[in-house]
Amino acid sequence: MQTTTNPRSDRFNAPYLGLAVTVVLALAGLLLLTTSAASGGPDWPFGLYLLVSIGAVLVYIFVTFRDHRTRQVELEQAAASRQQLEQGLVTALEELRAGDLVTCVEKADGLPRGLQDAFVSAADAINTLAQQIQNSSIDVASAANSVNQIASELASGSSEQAASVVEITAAMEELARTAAQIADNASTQADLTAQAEASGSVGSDAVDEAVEGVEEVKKRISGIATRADTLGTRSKEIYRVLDLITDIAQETHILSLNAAIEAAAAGDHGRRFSVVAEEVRRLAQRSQESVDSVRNLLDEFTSSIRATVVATEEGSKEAARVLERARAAAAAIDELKSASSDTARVAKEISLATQQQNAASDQVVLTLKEVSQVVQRMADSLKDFSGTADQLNDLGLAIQLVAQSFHLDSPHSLKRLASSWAQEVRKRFGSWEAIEGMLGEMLQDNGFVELTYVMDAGGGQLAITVNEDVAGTHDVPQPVRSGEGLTERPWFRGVMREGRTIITPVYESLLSGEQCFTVAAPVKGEGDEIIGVLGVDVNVDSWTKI
Amino acid sequence: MPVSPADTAAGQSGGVAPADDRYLLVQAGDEKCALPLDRVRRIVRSLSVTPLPGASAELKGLAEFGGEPLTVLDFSRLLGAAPGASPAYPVTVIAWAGPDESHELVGLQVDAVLEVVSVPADNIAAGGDGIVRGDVSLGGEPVRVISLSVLGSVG
Amino acid sequence: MNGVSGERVLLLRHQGRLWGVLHDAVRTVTRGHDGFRVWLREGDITADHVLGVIEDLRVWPADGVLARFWGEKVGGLAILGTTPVVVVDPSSPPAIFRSVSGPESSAEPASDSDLGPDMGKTP
Repeated sequence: MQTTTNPRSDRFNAPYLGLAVTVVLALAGLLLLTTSAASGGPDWPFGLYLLVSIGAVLVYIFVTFRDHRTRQVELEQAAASRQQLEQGLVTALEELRAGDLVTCVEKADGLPRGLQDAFVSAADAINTLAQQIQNSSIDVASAANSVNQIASELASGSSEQAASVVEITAAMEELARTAAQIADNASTQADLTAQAEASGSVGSDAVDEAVEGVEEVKKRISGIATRADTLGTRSKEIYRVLDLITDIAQETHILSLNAAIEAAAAGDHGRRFSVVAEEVRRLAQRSQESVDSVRNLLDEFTSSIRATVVATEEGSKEAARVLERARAAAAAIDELKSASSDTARVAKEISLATQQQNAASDQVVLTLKEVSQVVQRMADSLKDFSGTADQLNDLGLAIQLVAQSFHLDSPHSLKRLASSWAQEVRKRFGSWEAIEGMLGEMLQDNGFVELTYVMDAGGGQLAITVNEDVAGTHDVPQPVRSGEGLTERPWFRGVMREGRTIITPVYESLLSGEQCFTVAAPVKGEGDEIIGVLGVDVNVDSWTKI
Repeated sequence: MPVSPADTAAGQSGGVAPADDRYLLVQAGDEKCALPLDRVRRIVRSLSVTPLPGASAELKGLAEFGGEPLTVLDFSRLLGAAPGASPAYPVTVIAWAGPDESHELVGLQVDAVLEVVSVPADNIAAGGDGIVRGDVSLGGEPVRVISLSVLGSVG
Repeated sequence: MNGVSGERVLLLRHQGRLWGVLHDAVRTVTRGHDGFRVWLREGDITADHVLGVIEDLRVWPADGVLARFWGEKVGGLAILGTTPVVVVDPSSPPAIFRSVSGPESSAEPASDSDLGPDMGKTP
């Protein structure tokens, strides 16, 4: 209620005017009296004075009574206004006390402008602070969640590291065993190589002897070939001799024939000579036959020699091939010996390297054990850290819940959410199916809600809707479904008592077995009476991850 | 060299057959021929023969024998015998050709001279009037008996 | 010519063989670019070389076996050392003595002074 007049100036003007008139009259009277007295004048001034004074006093009384009445009315009005203002302020402060920063501003509409502005400013400041706290609490929860996740990951990582260290240690120990085995094998290989080298030397010597033998055979074959050539040459000489003898035999033959001819020409005188000639002819014939025989023998001999020469040539070639192969074998044995030497050297190097590797592996195992201890300490620290993160998470949740205790005009405000749902329920109150349908739609838009339900003020009717994504395969417990004992629950009693939206502390959900809390809002009728209670079970884990 | 019955007979009896019955057995081509021994002057080897241009195939050429010119004939071609194996020691039989009163020597180049054989005239199967007088079998082999009378001057 | 007789023979070498011509039958000898030309009483013959004149060379008649197997008319046969020599019949020398060259050789020399430097020497 606002007035346009300034009662304060009016109130101050009437009394002061009266007083002034009174003073003026008094002074005037005094003056007149004095004058009259002095002058021995008529009395009429005194009467005038008296009249005037009485008139002034009446006027003064009238004016003063009027002002007094006006002021009294104003005072009554002011008192009423003050009372109303006080009532409104109290109501608004009540809402503010309850944390309903939306309603308290509405309730402050009846307050004087200045007070309203101041109240609204204060409410806005608190709203802003509460939203900041809410936002910060969300950030804290998110950070706590992140820290928790990081801690979990670190712990998991540490566990994995520890497991990896164990695996690496086992692998290094296996490596060390393998290296030791390799060292043993290398040592054995070195021994075998030494044996092979020795065998190679023996083989090489044997091959050298074989080569010498083959070369000797080759020399002998060459000697045989040379002798065969010599025999061949001698045979040729014999052939020449035979040819010569044959020639001589032929000449002798012809000579004998010529002798026979001369003997025949000599007639009887040549008869004896013809006998001689015949003998000579026979001698020549026998010589020729002998030569032929010798030639046959020589032919056979020459053929044998030729065959021998061929055989020796083939033998020489074969010996050369054998020699070639023997030399190749010797070269291969030398290569083998060289390779064996290299193998032995490499085996020794391997043995040495594996020994060094063993030492390094031992060092690595020791280092890994130290790393394992460090990792274990780190895992332990991370557990503490995780515990601290859990505490932080809980703190964040607590802060969030504290922030949520305010009914803010903010999309993060659960009370605002529940209040808006309650208004929708109110529109459908009486049709429980419609209510369940509406609740189902609301659940789809708010995945952190695991269960919503509406009860009438008497705790009789119940509409219940379950978020299958959060509840999983859990069935709604029968007590919840039947509504048994719900009127005794803190959320129901709190709403019925406070007549406003409340948030319960965190508890374990019967439905999901996880942490949850309930946001309960009153469903008010047209007369602002509570006709029902809307309950919204919020899954802490799902809600903090939003 | 085959052994002729004459060799055996001469060796056994120590006697010598009559000159008219004695022949020089020669190889000419693939045939054995018996040259009358009394017509044979000499057997020589390595006779250097100078061929004559435009001569017939039977005429080998001219040679020197005893300081005198000698006409040398190819006896195998003269006979018309098929060529035999290449002669190991070809020889030239220097004989008197022509009628008995002629002393013209002629050289007959043969593949080989074998031996002196005795062939009784009764054993000779008469041939013709040409250079082959007849045939005889000696040691189971056919032998042509030669007559050198038909050689000589044309007339 | 009957029987063996000692003759004065001009000795020639032609186509690798020794030939002889009775000196009495030789008029002259000239020398050409392809050898010698021996001018006879009737005709002429060519020779690769003229070796000289052999005095008293024994010449045998060649009308026996040789005549039967060689169609060329031969004046006789002789032996020079161990080499046979065919003495040509100047009236009908063998075909190989026919001149290969043409008319240039038909010009007869004027006198005996045209005989070559080897004339009169025994080869």
